[in-house]
Amino acid sequence: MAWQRAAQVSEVAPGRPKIIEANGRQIGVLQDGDTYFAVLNFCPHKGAPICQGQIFGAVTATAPGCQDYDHERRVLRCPWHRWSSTCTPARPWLPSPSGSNSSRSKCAEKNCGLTAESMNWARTGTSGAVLVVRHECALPGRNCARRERLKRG
Amino acid sequence: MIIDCDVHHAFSGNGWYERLEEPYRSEVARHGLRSLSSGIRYEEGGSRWDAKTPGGGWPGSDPDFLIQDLIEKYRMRYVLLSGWNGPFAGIPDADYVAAVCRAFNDHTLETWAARDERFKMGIHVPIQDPVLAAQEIERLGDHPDVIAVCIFGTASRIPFGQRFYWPLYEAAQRKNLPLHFHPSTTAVIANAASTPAGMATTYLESHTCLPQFYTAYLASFIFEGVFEKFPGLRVAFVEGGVAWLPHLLWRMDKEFKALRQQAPFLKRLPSEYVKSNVRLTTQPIEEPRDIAHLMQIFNMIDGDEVLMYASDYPHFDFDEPSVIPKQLGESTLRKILHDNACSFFNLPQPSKAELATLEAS
Repeated sequence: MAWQRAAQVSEVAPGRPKIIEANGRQIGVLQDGDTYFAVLNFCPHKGAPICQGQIFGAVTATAPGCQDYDHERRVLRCPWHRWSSTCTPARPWLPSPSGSNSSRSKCAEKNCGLTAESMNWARTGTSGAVLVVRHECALPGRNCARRERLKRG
Repeated sequence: MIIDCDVHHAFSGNGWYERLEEPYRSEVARHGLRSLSSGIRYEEGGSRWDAKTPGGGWPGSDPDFLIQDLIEKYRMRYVLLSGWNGPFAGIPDADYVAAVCRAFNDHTLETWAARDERFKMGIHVPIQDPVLAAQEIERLGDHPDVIAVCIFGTASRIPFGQRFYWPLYEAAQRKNLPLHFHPSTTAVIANAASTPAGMATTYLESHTCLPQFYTAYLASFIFEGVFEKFPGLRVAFVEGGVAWLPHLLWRMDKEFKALRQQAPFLKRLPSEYVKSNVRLTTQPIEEPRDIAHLMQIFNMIDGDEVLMYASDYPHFDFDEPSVIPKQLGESTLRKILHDNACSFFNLPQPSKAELATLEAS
């Protein structure tokens, strides 16, 4: 984990993230209402620049016909294929069933980051008017085929 | 080296309405384009959010930005501009649709195709009246930047193999232009219903069911004998993915062996006509749990000959060229990304200079 000064508050606005470099990878600082998030600018699905996505409340359901809307549960959706990542806690909201051992969900959760612990969703805080990001910014895991493919382009 | 078989350009503003002939120009100026709605909110899919033009314009509406964001980024040799078909698909008045198609095609030729030699286009034609469609093919079919005839998929009231359409197919064969079947925007109730089973509730559902239309179209093409009547006609099914094809090939061949008296004009197995006359574009490529499963599907359908790459830029289900599995090997990759489309759309083969540039890069 390392701390890095990311942005002045005035440099970030809703829909206008600030992108910084950290160990050769991009982190975006995003504003949602009064809250700031930082996220690796890399969607675990196809590597799209997820910080150009949009933040919404979550549409949920306990059963068919019981749709609900949870405004407090914030979701960042990818600009390309609309995959979702929840902002709190910070982790991908993958369209695979929970407990699934699909290779993609394993890849995304274990090797490609975006879990609460490995913190591509870095913690943010304010230091005066300066946003500071704490990150552990590394390439996806060594044995991850997706990582190799993405590196090759 | 890449040819992208499905790129959705848009027009900046509504200035192209000026090209409409009267009385439609006045009508559209007063009331806008005619439209039919299925009640599905397609914007939830729609376009990539990062494809808005630098000026904040509609994705795909700025040729220079599209060149930068797609063509230069992926080093594409040609892209096929397919536009959008909301203004045409399903509208019952064929004279109106013919006029809108002419304005759309002329505006694309002038504001896009003339701008960069990498832009090629499919012309839109009023499938509601195949004789009028043939006239549009006759009018523009010899233009060097016209490489296909766009057909509104999911917008037929009559299955596409039937003789009703044959004047259109005769013209397309004569001009050596393949047909480019693309789903109509599913916000439009262009078909009897938004899926073959009835009115879908969501875009998620209707978009998932698109291959069902193509299954029915392809069976109609084969069993009506279209490829016996028009052996030079080539057909591409765009944006239906690929994994539906093995099922259909096997089922058509099996059924034909039993019931061939119902299609006595066929001289070959249905699957053989597919191989010679039909191509699928890869997008939106299926994403199975195990990539080996996708490779097996590719093998089942002779993917190295039958498939052509398409991105669907700037739409939300955009596929980068890298979605074609590298494990297929260099020769197959090249065929799917470039060579198959190059011959299917009768595009110039790469020059020695182009090949040398490619090798050097």
